[in-house]
Formats: sequence, structure tokens, C-alpha cells
Amino acid sequence: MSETILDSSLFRNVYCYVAGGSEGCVSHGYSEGFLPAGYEWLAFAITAAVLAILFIQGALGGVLALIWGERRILARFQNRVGPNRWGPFGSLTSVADAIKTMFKEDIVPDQADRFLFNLAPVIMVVPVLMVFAVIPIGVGTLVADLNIGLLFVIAITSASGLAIAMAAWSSANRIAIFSGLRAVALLVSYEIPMALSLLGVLMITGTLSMTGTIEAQDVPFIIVQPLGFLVFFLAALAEMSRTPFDLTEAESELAAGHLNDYSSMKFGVLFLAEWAATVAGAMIIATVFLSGWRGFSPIPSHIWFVGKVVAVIFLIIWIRATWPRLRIDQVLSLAWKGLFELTMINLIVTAILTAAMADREADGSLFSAGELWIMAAVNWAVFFPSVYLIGKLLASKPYEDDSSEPQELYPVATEEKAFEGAAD
Amino acid sequence: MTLENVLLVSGIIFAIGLYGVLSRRSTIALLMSLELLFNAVVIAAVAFSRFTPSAGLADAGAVTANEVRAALTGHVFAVLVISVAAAESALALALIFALYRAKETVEITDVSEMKR
Amino acid sequence: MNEAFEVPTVVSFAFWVASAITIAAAIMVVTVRDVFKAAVFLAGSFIGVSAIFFLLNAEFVGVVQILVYVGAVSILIAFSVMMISDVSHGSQPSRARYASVTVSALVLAAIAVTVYNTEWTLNSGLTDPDAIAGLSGTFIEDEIASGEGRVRDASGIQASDSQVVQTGVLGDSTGTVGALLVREFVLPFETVGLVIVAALIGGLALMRPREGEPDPRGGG
Repeated sequence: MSETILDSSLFRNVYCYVAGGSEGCVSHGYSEGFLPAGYEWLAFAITAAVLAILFIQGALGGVLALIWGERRILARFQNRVGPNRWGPFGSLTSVADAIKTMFKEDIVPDQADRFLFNLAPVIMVVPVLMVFAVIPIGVGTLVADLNIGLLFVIAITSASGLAIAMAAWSSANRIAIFSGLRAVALLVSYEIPMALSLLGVLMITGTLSMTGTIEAQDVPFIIVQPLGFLVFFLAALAEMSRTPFDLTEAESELAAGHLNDYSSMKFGVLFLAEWAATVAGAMIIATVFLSGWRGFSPIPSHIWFVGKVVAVIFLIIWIRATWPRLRIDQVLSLAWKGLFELTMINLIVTAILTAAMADREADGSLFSAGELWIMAAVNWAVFFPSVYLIGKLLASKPYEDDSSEPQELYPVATEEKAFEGAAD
Repeated sequence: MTLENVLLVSGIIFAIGLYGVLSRRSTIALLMSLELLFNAVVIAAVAFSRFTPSAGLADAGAVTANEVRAALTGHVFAVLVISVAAAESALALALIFALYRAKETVEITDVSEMKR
Repeated sequence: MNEAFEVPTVVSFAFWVASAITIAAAIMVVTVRDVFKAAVFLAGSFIGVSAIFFLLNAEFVGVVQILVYVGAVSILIAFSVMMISDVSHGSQPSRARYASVTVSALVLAAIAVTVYNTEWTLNSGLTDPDAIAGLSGTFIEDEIASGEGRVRDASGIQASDSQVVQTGVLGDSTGTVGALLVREFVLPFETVGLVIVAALIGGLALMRPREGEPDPRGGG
């Protein structure tokens, strides 16, 4: 058993209770477990199973809470009451919904490719649940402190595009395929600014480990890296297909897109994956940009972390209640012409700052709070002009109908340029 | 897991990819088989990096940091090959699209004007 | 044979499982008629290969493999199959099947014979404790900035304040790969960047609408 795994207190508590006696456990103060020596592999397997079940259940609980919270908060924003019948404040409504989904009939369309159709929900949900394993939800409370944590998260979440393409294609449904094409284009486009916006953070921390990222944040990186945060937040919204980038489903236009032909628990699993992605995305944003579980002392670290995640989720719901959905061309041009440039500006500025201040190469130390504040000042000075400039360049031009003939494809404005009058 | 075993797995994947390149008709399937070939090569590079020492390490004498780091040359090769393969596949797909627009087909056997 | 480079049984077992999955998926890629399904199996094969990389202590390469191949290449291929939809279901049967099998079997035999008949210089043959520590233990390095410093086994000596105890390069490869990419291999690294830009421009140029053709982006 390698020592590094035992550094995670969560893992250690379970493993050493089962196995005990092994070197790593003794040095951490555990005397003996109930398995005899030589059965370390069994203890390892038991620990892995326990932690996996624990984390998946935690994620599911988080998703149920999120669904209820989103419905309540959205109702508040729209001057409604929201679900309030079952349980206190309607908090058991999501449970009722889940049970209802389970008992529905499981339909597979006649023309569907059964193999891919059944595989797609699995491919969709597994990467999202794997993300939860690397997020520290409190001091030492994480399953695996990978030394490539951030890169792992970015890589593993990129598989969801394939799942959506599979779901869309195997449904053998025109609307689903259109939505699948849109979704894949959107996801692939937004992966680039998402990965690039993290590079600024990586240059400051000098590590890919989640724990290392939190330890480096004497000043939360939302202050040090405003451009990085903005781009990462928008790209994450797109990756977890939330409004205003939720073209992958777009209930009102595509009738739920690739989810169109799914029913019963397969639909439930696909939907679960999306909500779990929202929770995971909020957790990553809280970890990387809001200094994770750090806070001041009387309040325990887990509460700090949950509080920050809830704040991020509230912001996401607020955006959903406020902004309309963008068009697909607007979404793609925002990724390629807007966010990409912003990350490049951020990258160059951060690289110059880091090179000017770093003597890290000598002893591997982190930047002090003072240095981080200087970086923050420069970055904020760059933030406003660059966002203004890119926004100015991206702003859509007023509608001009320069074609002499009426548009045949979409007969919206056939009556003698009806838009001219409207512009006045 | 020894060096020989990993290289054998790499060789098997290479052979499968070669079979695909030689036998498939659809250009998209050809491209997939090419990616398998690339993967086989990358596995071999990483395996050598894991199991064989860099030149300086096997000699007697002081071990320098550069010699130790050179053990990971295989990883660097892997990253470079993966990058080039990604660029290649994007370009190949653009070519396939161009072919499809020009001839309404993506079967490799239908594109044989140069033979006549 | 020294213990530092021994492969644990669990890792060996996992390697055989990952290899079996990879090879099975690869066989499906080259035999399945439906091209979209082949793309999905290709993604499965890529995931198996990345598992092999993780077992070979190459975390960075493994993650890059998932990021680039699963996240981009196989999705791009699936995307193209969806765009060129009529090729997917009715793909023609293979051409020259028996000749291809023969050629690949011969190549595989040649590789196997070469692999098993070569005397490889292996890590496990190393005797210098400093070299072993630098690869898979913990080590201390003088003059970190220049990269020329001498490497010493950290288990025997006390590190001074200015020295850092580092994990062997096979144990924690990510940072070292990064350093190699921007130091020793900076020229190939930049060349790859150039190749990618060229591929980008080439792709755009190929997909540009020709004169007289309607703009594929639509809009009248």
C-alpha cells in the first residue's frame, strides 16, 4: 500500500479500520483492524467500494437537493411559490419525481441502435461521477489526491460529448441528430477556452493537484485571476449545458434534443448526469477560484466548502432565471472570437507577472499573499479594458436586410421589409 | 507486466491497425485504423521509458539530473506523437469532407481517377 | 533484479485486463460494418490504452491520451459520420481481406520475434543506488536551476535548507515531462505547434466554399 494514498484522511479512516497493522497505518496511530495481515488487497478493495458508494450517494443526494433548490429559487425569481406539497417546503418533491421516473415504461424506438442507445447513459454518467473523487470537500476529505487532478477533471469531462453524440445518433431521430451536431460543436468549442483559462491558475500554483491549488490560494483566485474566472465560469456553464448555453437540449426548440427518445430510468440517468455535472462544476469552481475549504477557524472546513458551492449554484440559477438562450452561431462565435482571446490576454499577462516575480525554481515555494495582491491589481487593471474591447468587437450589428428579394427560407419578413419600421 | 509483454501488446494493436488500413473501404474507417497505428507506437515509446534506463544511467560515474530526466524522453515522444496525430486527424477529416462534397462518396475504391 | 522496479501483481493483472479490452475494442474497430459504432469502439480502445499508460507510470501521457483522443479525435470522427450520414449504415464489405490478414500476421510475427530475441538493457539491471533513487525513489539534486546538478539518493543524507527532496521521475512524471518539453525538446515542441497551425489553416482552406457554390453555412 503506497504511503501517498494514506495521506487522504478519508481513505485512511476506512482502510486502517479494516486492515490496520500495516506500516502506514501504524505510523498514523492505528493499531489493528479486523483483517489479518496479508489481506491488504482485500482491505483496499473494501475501502474502494465503501468510498465509491459513499461518494455516489453523496452526489445523488446533492443532485436531489439541487433540483429542489433550483425549482424553489426559480419560482421565487418568477413570483411563484414552487413545489410545496410534499415534505417541509416541498423538499421531498424530487424524491417523488425520481420514483415516478423509475416506474415509467422503458421504451426503445424501433429504428434505434440498441447497443449504443443503452450504452450512452452509462458513458454520460460515469465521467461525471469520477470527477467527485478528486475534489477535496474538506481538510483531507477526498478519495484520491491525484497529482494531475485538474487535468484529469478536464480530460474526463470531455467524454460527455461522445455520449451525447451516441445518444443522438442511436435514437435515429432527425431532431436528436441536429441537436447532437449542435451539442458536439458547442462542447468541443468550449473545451478550449475552459482548459486555457486554467493555465493562468496553473502558472501561479505550479501544480495540477487540487489540494496544492487550494494551498496556494492565500488570496482566492477569483481576485487574482478575474479573466480566468470569467472565462472558466462561462465555459463551464456551456459544458454542463446550462442557460444561456443550453442549446444541447433547448426544450422549447428541440424538444429536449438528444434526450428526445429516452424514457424511464435511462432518461433519469441522462438527466442525473447533467445535474451532477452542475454540482461537480460548481465544486470545481469553488475549489479552483474560491479557495475551496479554506476559511476562518470556528467554522469547519466542510461547511465553508458547501457554502461556497451553494453560492456558485445560486449564481448559476440566477443566470438561468435572468438570461435568454443564445443562438448557436452566437454561442460559437462567443467561444472562438471572445473567450479564446480573453484567455490569451490572461495567459500572456499572467506569464509575464509570474516570470517577473518567481524565484520558485529554486525552492518550489508558493507566492505570498502580497505578491498575489500585486498580481490581482495588474489583472484587474487588464480585466476591464479587455472585456470592454472584446465585447465591443463581438457586439452584434443592428439588423440590416440588404437582400433585394424576400427571404424564402424563413418567411418572417416577407411584407416589404417589415423590420425597417420596427427599427424606428 | 514486462517490457516484452507491453511491446507485444503494442505489436498486436499495430497489426490490427495495419489490417484495418489495408482492408477497409470507407476513408473514415481508414482514419480510425491509422489512429490505432499511432497508439501502438505511443505505447511502445512509453514502455521503453518505463523499463529501460537512459544512456548515461547505465554507465559508471556520477548521476546528473539531466540523465535522470532523459529517462522520460519516451513520454515526450508520446506527447509529440499524440499532438501530431490530432492535427493529422483534423486535416484528414477536412479532406474527407472535401472528397464527399466533390464526389458524394467516401469510399476509397471510388476515388481512382489517377489510375486511368 | 532490484525491488524498486518490480511490478506489483495487482498492476500486472490490471495490465492484462486493460490490454484485453484494448485489443478487443481495436478488433471491433476494424471489423464492424457500422462506421459510427466503429468510432465508439475506437474511443473504448483509446480508454484502454490510456489505462495502460497509467499502469506504466505515465499519468500525464494517459490524461493527454483521454483529453486528445477520447475528447477530441473520436468525437470529431463521430461528428463527421453524423454529417456524412449515408455512409454509416451501408459501408461496403472489406477489400482484399485474406491478403490483409496475411500481411498483418507476418508483421506481428516479425515484431514478436524481434521483441523476444533482443537482449534489452533494463532498469532492473541498474546497480547505482543514486540512479535507482533518481528513477523510482526520492532524490536530492544540487543546483536545481541549471539542470546539471548531481543526483543523490535522499534516503541516506539529510537535505539542507536550500535543497528539496524530489520524487523519482518515474514516480511523479508530470513536472519532468513539462521541463523536458520546454528545455531539451523545445524545437520539436514549437515545430508541433507550427504543424497544428498549418493543419488548422489547411482544414479551413479545404472547407471554404468554392465560387459558385452556395455557402454551406446557409443564410441565403
